[in-house]
Amino acid sequence: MDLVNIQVQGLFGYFFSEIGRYAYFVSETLRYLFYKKFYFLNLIDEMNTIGSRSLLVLAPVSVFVGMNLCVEGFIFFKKFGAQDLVGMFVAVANIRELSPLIAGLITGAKAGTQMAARIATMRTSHQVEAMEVMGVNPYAYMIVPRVLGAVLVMPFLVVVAYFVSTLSAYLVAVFQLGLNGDAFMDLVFANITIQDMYKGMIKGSVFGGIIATVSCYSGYTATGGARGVGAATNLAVVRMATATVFFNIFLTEWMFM
Amino acid sequence: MIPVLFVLGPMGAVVAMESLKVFSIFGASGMTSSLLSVALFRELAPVLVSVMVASQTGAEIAAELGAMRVREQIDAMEVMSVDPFKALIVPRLLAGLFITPVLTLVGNFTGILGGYIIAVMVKGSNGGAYIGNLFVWLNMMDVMGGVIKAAIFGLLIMVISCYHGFYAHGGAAGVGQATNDSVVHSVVSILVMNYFLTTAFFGFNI
Repeated sequence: MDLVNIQVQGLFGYFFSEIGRYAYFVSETLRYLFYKKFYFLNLIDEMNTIGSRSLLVLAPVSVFVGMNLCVEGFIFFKKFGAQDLVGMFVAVANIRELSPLIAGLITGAKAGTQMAARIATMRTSHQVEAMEVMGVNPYAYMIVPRVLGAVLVMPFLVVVAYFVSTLSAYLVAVFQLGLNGDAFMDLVFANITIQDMYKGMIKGSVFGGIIATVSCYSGYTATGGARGVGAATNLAVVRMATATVFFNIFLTEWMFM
Repeated sequence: MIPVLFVLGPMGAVVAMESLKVFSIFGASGMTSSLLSVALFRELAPVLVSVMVASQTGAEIAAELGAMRVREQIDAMEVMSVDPFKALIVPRLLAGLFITPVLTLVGNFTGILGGYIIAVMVKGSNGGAYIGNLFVWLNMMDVMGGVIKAAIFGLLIMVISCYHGFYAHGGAAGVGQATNDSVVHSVVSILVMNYFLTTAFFGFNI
């Protein structure tokens, strides 16, 4: 169990050994990406699961994120008397940072926890070992389709988040705040480029990879019955939220600076 | 607590990075910290701290209560004439109400620290200006609004996760389902509620 490991190795030892095991897990996943047998139907199935489940939650959440962003930006810009420029703020904040982050957060909370719980259940009821005995490689069968599916689907979820939240920001700007709608949209389109949108999609893709590998790793290393499944799910959420926000710094620095 | 620190620090760093770039166009790079502190106190800290509390504590509570329900410990409590609402639910609700604001204040501090590391140590803007401009635009309403927001979110999280755990059914798989549902529902309701609270607290002079 984790508590025992922490007592034996100390907090830093535990942290770094966990990082090392995660790196090994990722490298194994990359190795089995080019395995002799590729489970294409599993990939389609996972893409469907991740995409359709997350979309139903992501779309309503994006509506309120966009509305909130617009109101907050309006209050802030009013201090300078520049409340007509709120479209610029909405465009930049939304396209570059917020939409990829929210899409990652929702996908992690919805699809990621489900991956972790599922794989942890298989691990604790010894189905993974049974799979190995039958000569089916568990990485190629379970992990690779999930990781690849998340990486491929996330950009499209980010695009949905772009459109829904920009549209809701527009509606708030026109109907609640009484701004000029055409001027708002002009500012939005003047301050984003297609490259920004591509970069946001790449961000989403990277977040998808992080979320899928972290939750699969947490599930794959689960120990000890039904309690272990709960602990793995919990650890997966916390680890992926931390890792996503942390890598966001480097992605922003690399892409937009 | 530790996840909160790890999430808010990088978030402050990213906000500082983006706003430093925008402000340096106008030659006002000293204003970075003013924007950062307003954004943190009003929005980022309450929302992100509550999301982390939901995914860490809320999930744990749903799993715990769900396990108690599935193993019929709650029924046993009722038989012993211990009111399960009084013994299990109320302490958790109050704890959520009181602790989330405290965590939010800690998160504010971490976010400002993260911004300082990026803006001053990495990008080399002026450290004195960063500290001096921190509280230029911040007033007491922003701080109190953020804290009240966090308290409401904490109560919301605890109600949702206690509900999902308390009425879990169907063995170990049911407990997993309850955990998953509680995380998703709390995150969604935090983000939805946030819009209305922002309008209520900060939007009255629009």
